[in-house]
Amino acid sequence: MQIDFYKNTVPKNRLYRNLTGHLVSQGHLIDPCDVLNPVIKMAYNAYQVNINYCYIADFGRYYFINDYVIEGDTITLYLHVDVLYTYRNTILQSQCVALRSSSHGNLYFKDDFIQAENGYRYNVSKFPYNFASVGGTYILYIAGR
Amino acid sequence: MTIRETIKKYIEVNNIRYNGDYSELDLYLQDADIEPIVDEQRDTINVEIRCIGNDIDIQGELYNYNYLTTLNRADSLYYFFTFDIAFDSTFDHIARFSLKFNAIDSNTWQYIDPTWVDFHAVGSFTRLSDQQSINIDTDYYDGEVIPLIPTQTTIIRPGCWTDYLDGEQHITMRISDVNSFNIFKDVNSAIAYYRDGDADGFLNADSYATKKFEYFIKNTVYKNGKLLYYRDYKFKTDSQADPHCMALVRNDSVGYDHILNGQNSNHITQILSRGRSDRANEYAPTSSAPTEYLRYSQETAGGNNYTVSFWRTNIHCFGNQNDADDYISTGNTENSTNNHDVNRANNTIVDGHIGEVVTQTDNGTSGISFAYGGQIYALTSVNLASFFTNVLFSTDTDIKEAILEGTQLFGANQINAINGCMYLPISDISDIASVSSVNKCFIGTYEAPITAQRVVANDKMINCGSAVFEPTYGDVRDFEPYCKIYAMLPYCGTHELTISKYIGKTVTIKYAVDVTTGACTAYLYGNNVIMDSFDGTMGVQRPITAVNQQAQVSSIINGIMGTAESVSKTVGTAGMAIAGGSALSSATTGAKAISAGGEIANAGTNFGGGVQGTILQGYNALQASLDAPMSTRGSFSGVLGQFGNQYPYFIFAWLKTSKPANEIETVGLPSNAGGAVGGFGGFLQCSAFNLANGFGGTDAEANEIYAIMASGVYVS
Repeated sequence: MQIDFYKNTVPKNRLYRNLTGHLVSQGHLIDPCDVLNPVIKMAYNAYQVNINYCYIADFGRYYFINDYVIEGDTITLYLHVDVLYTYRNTILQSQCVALRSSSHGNLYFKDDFIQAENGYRYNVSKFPYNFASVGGTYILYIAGR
Repeated sequence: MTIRETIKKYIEVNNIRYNGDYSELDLYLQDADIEPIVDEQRDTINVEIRCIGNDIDIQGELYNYNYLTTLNRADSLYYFFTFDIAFDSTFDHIARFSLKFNAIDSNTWQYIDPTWVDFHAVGSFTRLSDQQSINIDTDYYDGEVIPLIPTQTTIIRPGCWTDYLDGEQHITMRISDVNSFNIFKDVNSAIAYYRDGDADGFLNADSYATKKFEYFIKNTVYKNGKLLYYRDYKFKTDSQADPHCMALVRNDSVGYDHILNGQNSNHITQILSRGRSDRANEYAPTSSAPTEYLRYSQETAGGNNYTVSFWRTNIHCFGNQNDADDYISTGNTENSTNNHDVNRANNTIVDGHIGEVVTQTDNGTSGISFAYGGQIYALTSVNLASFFTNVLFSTDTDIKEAILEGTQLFGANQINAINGCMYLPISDISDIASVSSVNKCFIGTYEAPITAQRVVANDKMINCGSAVFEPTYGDVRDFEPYCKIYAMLPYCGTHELTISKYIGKTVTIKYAVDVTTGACTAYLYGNNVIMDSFDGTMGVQRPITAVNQQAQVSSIINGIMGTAESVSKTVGTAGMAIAGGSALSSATTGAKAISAGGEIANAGTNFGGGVQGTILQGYNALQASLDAPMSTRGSFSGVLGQFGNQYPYFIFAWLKTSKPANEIETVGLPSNAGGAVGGFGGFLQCSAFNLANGFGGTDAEANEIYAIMASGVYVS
């Protein structure tokens, strides 16, 4: 089975990858095989410990290399499917409702990330009219002509 | 050797150079009409001036005079000379130019306070030691470049000289007209002002409001979550009175644009911009037209690309073109909202029928006439004392008899002709009523000789003034529960208000006062629309008879009972905060999120837990702080109101908050927007997600995708 190895420098929680150091190698599956979490045994190449990502054409999926086990001249790779990159086109076309967004945020929605301290600060806006507690007017009510 | 010379016509001094032994001046003369007029011999120094122009070569001769000497101060040898250049009458003023050379170090050049008479300005000068010029921006002009890196080219115009004051070198300039230049303490101050708006070192900022000629926008534009631009715009006008503003204008093809508007676009003389990559460099003229220069900050673009833009600006911003036009044509800022949000811009329906925008509500007016019968007089304390002493309780027998004669209609209770007396804390009764001045009043049919104002109709309201309440943060923190607003209304108590009724609006307070009872109602307006009203009692009964006294006590008791019902009413939105927190907690329940470098399936829980924790922390703090920021109470009765505030106040209580500066980039902002994932940028956390058709993975993979989208992913 052909495996295309890469070094991915982008964190997993991205819909894009930066793949470098392409290396094509052959390996075989250790039975039984879980296509989402396959375990691959292959001839050991020191370069393989510098890679963390691969593509298996037979499965049509990209995988994170979660772990290596080197045993003599063989290396066993424990993989997990990268669903984001494998199905990125489908995901990008999928409809969603955003709970939080960098591009579609609303500053006037209640925001969990605003932390509050104890206490308030006060501002006072004083209006100009002055009622006259001193110097006011006496109103006299008189029945008269 | 010193030679005094008069140079007529035009002269330009260029490129003063110091070559270590002497300085050179290149004088370019348009007219060769040069006549030596005065010789004045002085001791010479080793300074040589070379003048070139129109086939005139006066190399080796020093123009003009003032004095010429050497100074040895602070262990530095200064070669000092001055000279005059006189223009003929067509130029109409004399320019004086002087330089002092510091052979050791001339890096520090500063201004002293100039005397602005009779002389022209200098644009820049050459620092002689290294032949670098420093633009000192005295002849500020549109489009002028403020170099951060000194260049070697400069023009020194007549009208500048140096002096030696208090051990420091100075350059002094004189100009012929009222100063219209920006004068800075030093070059760095000028650069800081033009780059950052920092007015420190802006010497004439206070005396001449040149800053008002400049408007700026510091604009950050994100596109699909990536920083697309960091662009500063600066535009200059030649009219200080010309209002400028921006309006949010719908453009069907691209979304919403922020459009710059001016009363006369011709007043916008220059627009300069500076991008992110060249922030360290100078502004450069932008090719965009004035009304298009913010096209980059469109907020929506047909749903495909969203752009988040932020800016700091000193330009009024309006939610729509009409408000902007209103501001430009009338100067009316009542609709000024600093509103960059489309939803808020459209959310102007404040009253009336659904869908109907009410821009003004009108109060009624009392039409009751007090001209005849029971009459109302407004008296000063002096006039009142005169009424009691000289009329009602006069010792004059004739007056007593006249009063009794005039009040026979009241039978045995003739004192009932005096219906009562009340004090109103209003110095000018015409604030609340139409009045007429009289010099006598009738008690029954008796004409009492007192001077007073007679209330004709109680048909006016006191206008206590207006204020514009601008948003402070421009986000949710301008509203409850982060901010609370209270109105302290004299004689009507202290009340908590709903911020959305007043924020971003012109707030007006008016009082209606009933001259017959002393009751009052305070009306609070937001943009001319009544938002709230509160009742109170302003008048203090001044008993004359036992009946009056009983009425007064009764009113006080009733007032106190009314007050007790509302006293200590604390702000009651903590429950809302808790509810909000619960809702958000629920929204994140079950979310499987991603933490950097962690396992997808497990790490998401941590992220969700973090959000939840933040909610709890934030709202616990909110809840704790909401206990008693202010107490509200009802109105006072009797004299008690006069011990309270006599001015209306609005009190804003802001909860102290902290908001991450990198929130947008890291976790985005709360949203409820819908669309294709590809239309979002940066961080995206979904409350709902529907995987598109064509997905060829397994259910386990689909579930993992759902979990990731629910907990957050960076789309770009």
